[in-house]
Amino acid sequence: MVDGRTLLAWADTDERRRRGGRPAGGWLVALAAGLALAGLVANHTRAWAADRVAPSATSLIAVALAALVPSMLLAPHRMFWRRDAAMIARMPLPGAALWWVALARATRAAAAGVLAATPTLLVTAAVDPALAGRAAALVAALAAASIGLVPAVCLAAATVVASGQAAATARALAGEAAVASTTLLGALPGAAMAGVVIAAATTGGWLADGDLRGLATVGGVALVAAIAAGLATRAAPRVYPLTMREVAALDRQVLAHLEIAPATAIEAAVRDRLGPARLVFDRMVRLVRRRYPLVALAGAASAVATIAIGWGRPDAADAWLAAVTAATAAVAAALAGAIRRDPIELPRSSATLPLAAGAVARAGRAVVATWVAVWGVVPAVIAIVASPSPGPTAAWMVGGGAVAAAVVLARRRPSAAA
Amino acid sequence: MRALTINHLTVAYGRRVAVDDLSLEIEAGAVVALLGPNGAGKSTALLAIAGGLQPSRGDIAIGGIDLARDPLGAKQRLGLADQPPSLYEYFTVAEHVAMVADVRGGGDRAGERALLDQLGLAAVADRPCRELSFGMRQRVGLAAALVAEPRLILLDETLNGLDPHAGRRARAALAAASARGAAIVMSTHLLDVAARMATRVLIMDQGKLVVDLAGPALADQLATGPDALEALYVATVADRGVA
Repeated sequence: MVDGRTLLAWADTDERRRRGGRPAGGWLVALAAGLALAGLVANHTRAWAADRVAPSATSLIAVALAALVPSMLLAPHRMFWRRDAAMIARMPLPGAALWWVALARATRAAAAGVLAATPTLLVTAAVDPALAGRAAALVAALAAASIGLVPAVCLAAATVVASGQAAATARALAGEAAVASTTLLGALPGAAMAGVVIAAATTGGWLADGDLRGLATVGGVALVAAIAAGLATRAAPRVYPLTMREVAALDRQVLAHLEIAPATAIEAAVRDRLGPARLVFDRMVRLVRRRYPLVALAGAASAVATIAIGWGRPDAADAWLAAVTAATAAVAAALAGAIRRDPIELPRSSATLPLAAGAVARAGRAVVATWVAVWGVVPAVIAIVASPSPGPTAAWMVGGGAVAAAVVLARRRPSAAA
Repeated sequence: MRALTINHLTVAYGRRVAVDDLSLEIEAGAVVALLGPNGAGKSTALLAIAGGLQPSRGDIAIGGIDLARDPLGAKQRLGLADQPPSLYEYFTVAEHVAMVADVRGGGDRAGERALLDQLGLAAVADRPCRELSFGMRQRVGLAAALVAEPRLILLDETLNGLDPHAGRRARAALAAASARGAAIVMSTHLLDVAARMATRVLIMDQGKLVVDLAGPALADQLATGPDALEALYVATVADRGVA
């Protein structure tokens, strides 16, 4: 019988070969994000100056959450919504091995989160070691929740989905609206994560002055995580293979919601100037809207944040603008990679259809440029114009954007359209 | 009018030659069954003809248009249903077929709907491709190959996995395409389908064309019995699966 270690080794080999032998980018991204967060904290506390101050409890909580919440959010994707889920579900794999792999992946993700938080902890330790120690305990508790609690809740949610209760609940709540029963697999872990976030948010007093109630909260989170992991470990051999099969089957048959919408005025204006690449552009923007709907949401959020910071000019506004621009650039770089891959781009189809040479590349550039212009450039110009010192503000934003784009492009997977 | 002319086509993957010096002429309206064992080079040949692979050597002309010199003109005249079908998973069936038709320069929504109806796809026209079963995906691939009436239709095992009704609809659609002058080249392992439809039979083995039967010679072969093509295949192609 295959054990978890062998299963993980197979999956790792497959992932490594998909990346073309390049190292995993998650660690690099975590380190880059961690350095950026530490830079913001250091800038805020004037860490290099003689009159430096310790970071506020709020900023430490924010950094800890920013570092660890992504690993919690992605737990269902690591466990069930995986590329190889259908294949795994068909194989006679013991539940204990599947759970071992889930814990190993959760541990890796949490370790990346801890890596992201470490630079800030080091900056804090240089000013106030005791505060840094308490912040490290908070990070450790969040890591424990990411490793033990959230995967356990995922398993419990998947058990409910497999039992058929989720479908009945969805119908009761949403009537005949098309709500996938596997939505519960995102909702329940999300609720658990929200609980952890709220608990972390209440530890400000403990971080600031050692209030014992905060210590109890941090300890409680870790204890609950350990208990949940223990319960899930006992249940996994029995329920994990079944839930894997049922979730994979449900995800396969779920009716995808497709937004059948015409091109926006901006998209149409761009498309009509692309000549032979217009049909490819039209196809790409429609597919991106359906496959990656959050790209537009991320763009809108980034634009709002850029304009709000640029207009409101809070403390360290340029650093915040650089961080937001970095996030925007990272999304743009990720989009540039995504539109060159299945399901947006099918190289065999493009090669055999009568498309002009360079049409796919041109359309792809136009898609990214349109997104950047609408969500990045226009808000950036507003922020720069509103700044009392436009030159440095522009430099901060361009620098942040360039670094983030370089990091994302460096970890880009091999292109299908290459 | 020749729908397809191939001269000395050779396609190699590194040192492995997948298609070895293939020369062929196919007339308009012909229905060509391309047979051969797995790995014989059939799919590679079809993909190269469709412009999806760069040949190591040789010339391909579609409807008299050289594929290397005028790839757009040549590709506008051909439709390929590859294996597995290249479908835009987040498009609906109707959108996918319309996109292919538009790119091929023959967008006609009413005609596309009629084609979907002919292939039994009308009921799933507004469903995303990612939801479809294997047989449905095969049918969508066939619809994309047939839409906008290309002069050369290349099918890579497209008739596999179809239920009897779908198979009948697909054969009718292909017969209609042939009747209006399109040449069809279909790679298949379904020898009964090949015997029923083909006006010409090609067998490839190890990258080479080893059998080319048409007209009276093919009729004579088919007259030898219900398993005539299987007998020809077995006599021609060595069973390398046996030690």
